[in-house]
Amino acid sequence: MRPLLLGIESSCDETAAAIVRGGRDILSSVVHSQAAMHALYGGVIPELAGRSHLQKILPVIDEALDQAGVRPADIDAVAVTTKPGLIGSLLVGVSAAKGWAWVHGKPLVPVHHIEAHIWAATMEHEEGASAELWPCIALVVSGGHSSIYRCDSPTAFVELARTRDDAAGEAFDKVAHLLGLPYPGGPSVSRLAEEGNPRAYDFPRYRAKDGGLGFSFSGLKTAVLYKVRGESQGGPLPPPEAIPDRADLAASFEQAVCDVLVEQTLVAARREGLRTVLIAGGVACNRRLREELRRKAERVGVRVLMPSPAYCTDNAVMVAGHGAVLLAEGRTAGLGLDAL
Amino acid sequence: MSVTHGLCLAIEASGRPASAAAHWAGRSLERVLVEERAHASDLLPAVDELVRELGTEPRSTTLVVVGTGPGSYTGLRVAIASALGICRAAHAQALGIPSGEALCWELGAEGELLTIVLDARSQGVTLASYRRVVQAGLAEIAVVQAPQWLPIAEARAHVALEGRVLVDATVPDLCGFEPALRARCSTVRPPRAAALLELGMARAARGQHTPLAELQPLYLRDFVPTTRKR
Repeated sequence: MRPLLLGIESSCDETAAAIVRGGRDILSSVVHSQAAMHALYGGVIPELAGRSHLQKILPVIDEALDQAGVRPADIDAVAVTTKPGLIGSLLVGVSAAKGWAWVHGKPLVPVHHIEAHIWAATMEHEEGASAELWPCIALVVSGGHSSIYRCDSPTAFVELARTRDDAAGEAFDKVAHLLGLPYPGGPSVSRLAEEGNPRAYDFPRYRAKDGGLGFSFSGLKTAVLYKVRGESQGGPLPPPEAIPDRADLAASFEQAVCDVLVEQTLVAARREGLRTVLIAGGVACNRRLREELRRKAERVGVRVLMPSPAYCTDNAVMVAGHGAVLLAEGRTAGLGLDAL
Repeated sequence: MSVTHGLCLAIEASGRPASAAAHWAGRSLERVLVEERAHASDLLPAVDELVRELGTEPRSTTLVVVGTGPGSYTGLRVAIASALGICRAAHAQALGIPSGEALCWELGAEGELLTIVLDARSQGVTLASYRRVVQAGLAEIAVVQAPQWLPIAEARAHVALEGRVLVDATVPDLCGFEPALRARCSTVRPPRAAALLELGMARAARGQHTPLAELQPLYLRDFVPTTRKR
């Protein structure tokens, strides 16, 4: 059976719906991004996110059904992100999904946002459908998460490492702010970094003292701050045009982040004795990270699967896709489903 | 056929306890949720129970009436998002009604003026005044003063000079109500979904509805986020 799922995602600043058949065949994907609205404030404002989700939730569901050319009666189940995320945002998607599913008499499938991101890395690849893909290592990097998982199956994950402070995407946002670049920081830092020398500054790369796995980006961010401020450490930040070598700072920062992410991921693969790595989350869009991971993984005989950029950032394709896997295991929920 | 001839639902979650009500084939039922439990987990199961007890099915829904507050944004969004999902799936109409109007429908005598003052936190209150009236032979709620957010210091000056005042327990102290005003006060509780349903059905029968794109909580105060400065 290849069930047809409606997926709904509203955990942060994207309202999204998608129709996916059999966990892999993408019939439609609609994403309403709030990024431009939050950019005015330099980060996601939860109250504004909740207001926007409420306005957009029905239009994105309608459009996803229209684009896919399916009727509600054709849908076998409704998958919805229930955790983790902004609670006021999650509740909009969960409540709308419950109301819709209740009327149509469809099962509800609660989906973990991070597990859905990991599934997204397999969806567009032939080998992603193979049971031999598992177990594998997954690196999940976004504005809210930076973790490495051991994935024994599409529904069995063990976290091996996580950031001790900022998420990688959060570090990009903060450094973008220091450099006078717009939010979201990932794309804007990367654009500027293309003009710079990634070896111009030797920024610190985090390594745990006990040799364990893990990330930390706060020291790196502070190192960039010191470089930006130059000799006037106590004073205000200089205007962007007064920062010398801004492109070099961006490139060197980006290189340091990528080095840490790639190294720790490959160490995790080696320690676990696994030959496949998945990468997911918004930061997985980063071109330098994708290239470095591919190159260094190939050198040690590790295969890397990554989603196309459209499915790295938050979307509902991954929710509907992973929902099908959970549905096959009977992991549905009743009307008492809540966001966590 | 009138929109009220099908299954009509009402969801009121502006405060605690939240409640749900349903009407089908001349019978109305209501459930009041357990106050301590989450709206999100309990609202739809309560609606489902009501519908089953009435002997019908969700796709018979023709109208969903929802309280729009003022009140907790979380509860209101759960109620409104649920209503949106139900309405779209059942091709039903929606009707958003400020929750104070339902309270006046439930508690106000004909001609009586009711002022409702709720603690909005952040040094503010929300205040609205309503009168239950008969217009063209039909009972209605006249809005004397539309819901507004006020700083605590200004609230007393906006309370109507007549009628009952329904207030959150903390409000008279916060706003420094004098004894004569206190004597007109009684403690407010959230409106019941049964009253919201009755008022909503009366209005829907007269052709009122809220387009789904316009169904949202009452936002009485502009939300101004802090901008990060360099």
